[in-house]
Amino acid sequence: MNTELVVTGMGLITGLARGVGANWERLLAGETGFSELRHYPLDPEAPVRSGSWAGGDDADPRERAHAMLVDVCEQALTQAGLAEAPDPERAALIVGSSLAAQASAPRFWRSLIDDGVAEAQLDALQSYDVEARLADLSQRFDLRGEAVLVSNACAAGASALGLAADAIRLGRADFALVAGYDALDFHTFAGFSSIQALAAGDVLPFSSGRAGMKLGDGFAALILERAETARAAGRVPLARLVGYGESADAHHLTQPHPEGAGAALAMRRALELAGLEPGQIDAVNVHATATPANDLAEFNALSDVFGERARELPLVALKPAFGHTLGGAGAVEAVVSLGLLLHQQLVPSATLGELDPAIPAADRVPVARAAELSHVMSNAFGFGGCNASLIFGRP
Amino acid sequence: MPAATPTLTGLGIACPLGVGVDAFWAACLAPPTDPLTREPKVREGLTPRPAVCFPKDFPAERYTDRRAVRKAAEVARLAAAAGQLALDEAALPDALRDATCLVLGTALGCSRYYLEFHEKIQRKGVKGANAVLFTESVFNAASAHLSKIHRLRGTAHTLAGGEDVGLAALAAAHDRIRLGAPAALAGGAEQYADLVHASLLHEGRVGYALGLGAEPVAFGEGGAAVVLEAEPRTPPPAGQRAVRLLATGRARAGRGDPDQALERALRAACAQAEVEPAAIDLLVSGGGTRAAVDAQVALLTRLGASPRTCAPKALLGEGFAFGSAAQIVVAALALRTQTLPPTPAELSPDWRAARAAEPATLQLALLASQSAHGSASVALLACAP
Repeated sequence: MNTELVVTGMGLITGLARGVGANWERLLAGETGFSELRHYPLDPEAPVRSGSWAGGDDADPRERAHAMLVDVCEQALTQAGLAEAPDPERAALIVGSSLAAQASAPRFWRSLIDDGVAEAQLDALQSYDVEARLADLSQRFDLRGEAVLVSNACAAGASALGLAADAIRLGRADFALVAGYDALDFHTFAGFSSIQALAAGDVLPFSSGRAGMKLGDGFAALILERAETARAAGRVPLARLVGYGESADAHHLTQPHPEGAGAALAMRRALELAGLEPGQIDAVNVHATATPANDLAEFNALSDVFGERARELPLVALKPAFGHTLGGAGAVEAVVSLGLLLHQQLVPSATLGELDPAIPAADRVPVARAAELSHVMSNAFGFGGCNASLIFGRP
Repeated sequence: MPAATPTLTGLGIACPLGVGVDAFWAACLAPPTDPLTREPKVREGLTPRPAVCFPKDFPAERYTDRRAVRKAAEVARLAAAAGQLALDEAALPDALRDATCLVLGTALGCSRYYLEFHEKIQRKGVKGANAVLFTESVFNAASAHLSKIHRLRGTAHTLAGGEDVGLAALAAAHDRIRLGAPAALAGGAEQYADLVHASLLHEGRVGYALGLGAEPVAFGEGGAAVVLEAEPRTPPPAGQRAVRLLATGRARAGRGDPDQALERALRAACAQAEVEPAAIDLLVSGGGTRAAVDAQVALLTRLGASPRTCAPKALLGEGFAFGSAAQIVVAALALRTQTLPPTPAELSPDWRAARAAEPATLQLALLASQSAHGSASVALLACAP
């Protein structure tokens, strides 16, 4: 990649903690952030009743989500030493989210069900919500470049980083506030229940007994800049974004390509843009939802790209700690991937079972350990066969 | 970075005015005299309001893979049909499809399925959740269907935003080509849903009648898509001009003036295309009120241009992502055929619009669209030399 891109600020909220540092400490300790969900009308007999909740009042889920989104953006700007965009007209806002405008609107539905459609509180339905939220962020931080929300399911947070990188590489922006988010919401909780993707017990990536995911709140923001602009302004690069690649499986609405063909294509495209060989990747933050189909497809893709080395490459799986943050995952896990580089440490998978016998061998990082890391790949895959891979390097 | 100027090799559209570019363009040039709005069926208790929508579910299976769209939401069916029509015209070879990108815009997503899903879980709890409604109402379901039907394995993005998000999709597709993709499919789609319509009326985002007056136009549904190719492989249709995408521009108001955002987007696009604003001879406006179109005409006048003008929303209604994607199709057809479609509205004396279709010498078209919340997107299309 001809343009050097650096990350100069990060913000993070998950069900584990608020803040990048607090999350890092709990991840390193192998903690999990799941609790019983008391906000939703769950049947007492329902097998899955837990998720990773970051707090707040769920009376208006869209407001709760937006407040946390603003919070992580402020964290990222603060770390970069900024209160708002340094040059508004050269500043882009790129957000990734799967749920976005589809979050529950409990006040509307209560009024519809209790009082009938004629009395329903239509203002609470907010059918035009995404655009209003983007406008709020662009006004709040005075970002006058392009602003867009990409909603390609669970790859959205990573795609947002790719779109921001495009804008900078093509000379339209020098600076981008990039965010990925999805709040735990009754909509997705019920939806993933309906497709039987939620686990009642632990989240067990690449394990023989894996039964699916848990959902979690996830909000992350990153400041992505042209390196020369950041350095000239005295902002400290935390890491470089050296490559990114995306693909579509063109296979199935919800199932991954069984051989991981699309995922492998995204990883190869990221490596090609980075000008790196697979052997130069030191660890992979895996998407690893712990559903039977997804993990096997991802390992097949890793084997395709990394060959025999896929069995030894450290695979960092974060969803056992704070759940699947859906459209936020690509950005949330990118922040943690940068942490791996910054701290030169691998965080453990918080819960693991015996390795799936279909996988010959894998380093799933059972305990935290120090590691020499120059380049870390971070994967995010989603519904619709969307695949995104990011590669970060030390500054 | 080289300023790639891809050619529009395929156009597709599916909306109440016409399905397919031939029927659509014929209706644009000679708008039907019957009212374009209809009162769609709404749930009991909700007041019917006019909208430009299909009387029943759109028959997407007539145009694309029957099995693929069987359970899909209406927005995906509209996008799939428009995408199929655009790809049919482009006749992309298999060799290009692995790297062909897909960018779709939508402001409202798969709203009807989403609402049905949500109503069920609100009434019955988790046990009311329906897997088909859930998976088909994910925002990117339409692009997933398109990539699967056509085996497009490049980047697949769904952009959510406001009225201009169809042009944002075109801009993102242009980016992919500038960064090396050989081809891209870009477009936008929106569907009618009774509660969403009621909500948009409540929010003042749409109005009741067509014609560009002081009030916003009626809600309009449809899908529109175009194929961009870095290197055109086929000549344009007989007797028509080839049309290239020269540049795109996007900006937000931030804390500034929304009209300045439009001017910045326009200036950025002109700089990228290395053309002067004064050279623009066609404005395809995304304005949904007379004041909105007036403001765009005034900006171009101030910058030295005196363009012919058309405002497709006067016919199509406020279609959000569909509306801004339809602008691309209208502009491309106007350039291809060197014909200005009429804008059947009470015209401001300052517009150089046509009251009936007329031949015109058109070389450089500006497509301009703004959201109600300060986003501005533009694109410059030109006849190939």
